[in-house]
Amino acid sequence: MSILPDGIAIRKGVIDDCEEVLRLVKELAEYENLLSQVRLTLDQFREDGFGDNPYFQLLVVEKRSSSDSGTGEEKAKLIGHALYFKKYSTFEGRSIYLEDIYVAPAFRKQGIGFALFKNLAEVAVYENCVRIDFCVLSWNKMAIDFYERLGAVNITKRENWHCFGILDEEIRKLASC
Amino acid sequence: MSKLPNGVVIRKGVTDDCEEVLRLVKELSEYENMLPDVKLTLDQFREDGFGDNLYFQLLVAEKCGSSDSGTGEEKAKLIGYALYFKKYSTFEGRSIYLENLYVALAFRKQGIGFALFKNLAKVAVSEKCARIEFCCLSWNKMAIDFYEKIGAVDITKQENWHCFKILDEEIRMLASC
Repeated sequence: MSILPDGIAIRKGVIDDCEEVLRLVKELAEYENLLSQVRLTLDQFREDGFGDNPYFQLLVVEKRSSSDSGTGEEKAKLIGHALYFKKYSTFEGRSIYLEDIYVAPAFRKQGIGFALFKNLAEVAVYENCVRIDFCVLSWNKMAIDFYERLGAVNITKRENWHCFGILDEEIRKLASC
Repeated sequence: MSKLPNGVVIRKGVTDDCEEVLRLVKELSEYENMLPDVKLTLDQFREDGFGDNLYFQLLVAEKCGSSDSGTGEEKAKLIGYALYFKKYSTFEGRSIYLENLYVALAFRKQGIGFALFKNLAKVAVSEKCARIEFCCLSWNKMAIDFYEKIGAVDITKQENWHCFKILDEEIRMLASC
């Protein structure tokens, strides 16, 4: 069983976390060499997560540090996140899609990533979801080893599934042709 | 611009379509050599598509048949469908995920698949979604050629994204460890 390091907690993300989470999203994208693809703005991110028509849910990892000003106040900062939403599989039914999972490099190998997955699994069980899907870059061996240890299966390798994307320009051409 | 064949229309799916759509889901899975993986029941499918907590939306392709009993009644049957739901990309934001797209074999090469995609693109534009994603089996050359003609990009090939899944047994172990 994983125990989180002192001062670290995982909780549901709230609207005030959006700025910090977007910072972590960009850190992850930079690690993936894909930072130039991130077009999200903070306003849109807030609206899409916490507006009338939510597109995603958040788990965040918060680290409390001791005050350095002698006032006794604790400063908390976000050091990881998981962004997910419900999905549907015509094989198994209710599922969760994990779009992003990230722990800042300085806090790796302390069980935080595992704890994020455990929290996500608890959400899945609660919502009667029988499948969690996500994508990983094939060169990210460290991440792949971790996911496979949790029981994840690479269905691109095993079952030959390839991901496809149609972007905005092509979508608009299709819609208007 | 693609015109649909006579008597074929594309419309939003409704709860009464579920039985026929599930039949088509199984036809598609059989074509993919994955029929044993389909564990969905009709009751669950109806609940997940039209109950209080929606997991997916449907477009269906319906063919009106001519009467064969002299009563003047037309029997309609479903010959294709698209099953989709909203997704979120930390790159572009609001997206649509196309879980299944299928046209029954006898009705291929008549523009129905294209019309399903066009309708989906209109939904995307209306919902301000900047991305449509889906998966395709890498051996399905005919489908891949079609998707690429409408502007889709194989991001497994192009950017090395691999799909992973975690199934129910592993999820429950994670949640309870």
